[in-house]
Amino acid sequence: MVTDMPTRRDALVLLSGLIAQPWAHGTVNSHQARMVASWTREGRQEVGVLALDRSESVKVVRRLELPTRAHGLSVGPDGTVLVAARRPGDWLLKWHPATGASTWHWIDDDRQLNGHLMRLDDANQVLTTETDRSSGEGMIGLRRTDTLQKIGEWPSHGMDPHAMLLLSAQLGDIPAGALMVANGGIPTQSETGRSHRQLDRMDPSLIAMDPRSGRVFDQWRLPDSRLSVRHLAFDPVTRRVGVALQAEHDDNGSRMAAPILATWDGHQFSAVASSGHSHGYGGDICARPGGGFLVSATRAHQVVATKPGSALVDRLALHDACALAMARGQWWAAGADHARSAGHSRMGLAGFRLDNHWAWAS
Amino acid sequence: MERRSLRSIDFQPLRPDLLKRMMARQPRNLDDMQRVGTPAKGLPALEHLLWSAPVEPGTPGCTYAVLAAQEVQDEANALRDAFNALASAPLDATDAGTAFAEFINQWLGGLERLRWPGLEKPLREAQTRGGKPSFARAASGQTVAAWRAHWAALRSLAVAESGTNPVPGDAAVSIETYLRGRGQVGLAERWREAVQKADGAMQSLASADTARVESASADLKVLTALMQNEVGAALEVGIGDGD
Repeated sequence: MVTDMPTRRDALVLLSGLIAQPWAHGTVNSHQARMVASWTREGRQEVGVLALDRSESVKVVRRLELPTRAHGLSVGPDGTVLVAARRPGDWLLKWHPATGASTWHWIDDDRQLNGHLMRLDDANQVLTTETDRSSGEGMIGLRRTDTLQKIGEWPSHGMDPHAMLLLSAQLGDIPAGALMVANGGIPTQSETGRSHRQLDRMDPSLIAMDPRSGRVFDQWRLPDSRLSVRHLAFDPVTRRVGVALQAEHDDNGSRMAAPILATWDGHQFSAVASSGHSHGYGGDICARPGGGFLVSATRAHQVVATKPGSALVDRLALHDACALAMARGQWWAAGADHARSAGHSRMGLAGFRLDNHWAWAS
Repeated sequence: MERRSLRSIDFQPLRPDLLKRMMARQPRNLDDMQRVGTPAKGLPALEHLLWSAPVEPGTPGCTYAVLAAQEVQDEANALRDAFNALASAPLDATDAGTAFAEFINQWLGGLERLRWPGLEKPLREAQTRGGKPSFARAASGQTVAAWRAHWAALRSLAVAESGTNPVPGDAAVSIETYLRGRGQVGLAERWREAVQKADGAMQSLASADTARVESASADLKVLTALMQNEVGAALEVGIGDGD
């Protein structure tokens, strides 16, 4: 059984009776990876490109100072990076690391950014999750990618919309290309910043909609309304969407034991029971090479793996585990003081603390 | 919180185009003003009508300004009455716990409102857009006075006046006193020192000088971090650290 003291062990820990080497999936012939991430270093917030290889430490290749902490980011085919401020956010950035060119957009309508954005593949457009400061209702903003100016918006049909996903295959009656939105469901108010209020009013949901019009295809809810729906990933092997959850129960015991993963297969949206405490906080999620999902259980200092079919199979100790990514058949995970990937030894993150998410650059 | 008083008194930034459209409707009384959107009212609208684009006495624009001022006064009176009612009817233990958590989060929200949209955001926005920082209350020349008033309210709730203990039911209990009451003496000392350092930086703001504004913002940010990372937990108040 894995404990909460990961710093004493830096090896893969297999739970008894489970499949062997669940972390070894994936090719490891890619000796170097470039990841785009944001971080805090010496009190400054920055976004940049990181080089991860077999050396002992992660190297900063490019960087740009940010006005406040960032959260979600996206790398385009031309290498352009889009960054959204952490909620309650008021800026967006388009940055080209190779040239250093940057475009800033400051929010000046009565909206706040909720930290995530999503490019529309075949258009010069990007979607942002937002909150109407007046009503507290969730909104999806449609913006031009080149200027980041808003050109449309529609309701998210819930409070606190967070991550989004474009569905890459039809699931049930929901067509490929549909926009999946994680409505976190937590009431917030601009006067109290990031605090969560009136949790008995929580109404988290997963919603499928047309990414260009906001037309709703369908909406799903878990039975437990205190499980906030936060981050999304698609597993092409099992053809499911994995949803990282964050528990908001009043009592500590319920939070500690709460599930941190739910899955949706086009029909059913259900939580995956947590064997052992995951401390009720799923910080990020990605598909697991070979099928299933990886979820960072940040407060339990672990990365949790599931196999196809959703059952939890293993936990990898990683202090303050959070940012996850899967690319070219390989997973990448970052914690407070080092990063891990399949087949690579630990790579130090000395001197800077990564934010919740990162993305494959090359 | 329920009244959204902050929005109705001080919605930032003002929407001048909306204000122009609303003035064209020529509202004559407070009932008419109910149909005017918040972004065209409050102190920013008053500042605009008195300094940026002054209205002439006896004109519909002047009537609009008088009505906007009356609304601000009415909201302030409603807040005062609500606070008095709250003080005369103590909450039960459960409601008091909820109210205390909201107090701490409102204090933090107020600090961040001063630090980010008040002080630092205009600097950062100017750096990325070009031009001079656009601070609130610049038109009336009250920028620094507004910052200091904002900070004075936060400071009075953050630390105890030197050498005094609040009398129960007679004075506000500071965050520092709550920490000491829970035996968090060391943290209370660090909190007090951080507040005093921020106080010095805020007092030194004689104008919207970039270097001093940045310095003050940095000291306020230390307070934010201390509240988010240590004080909130010591007071058993959730600060909303998830994402």
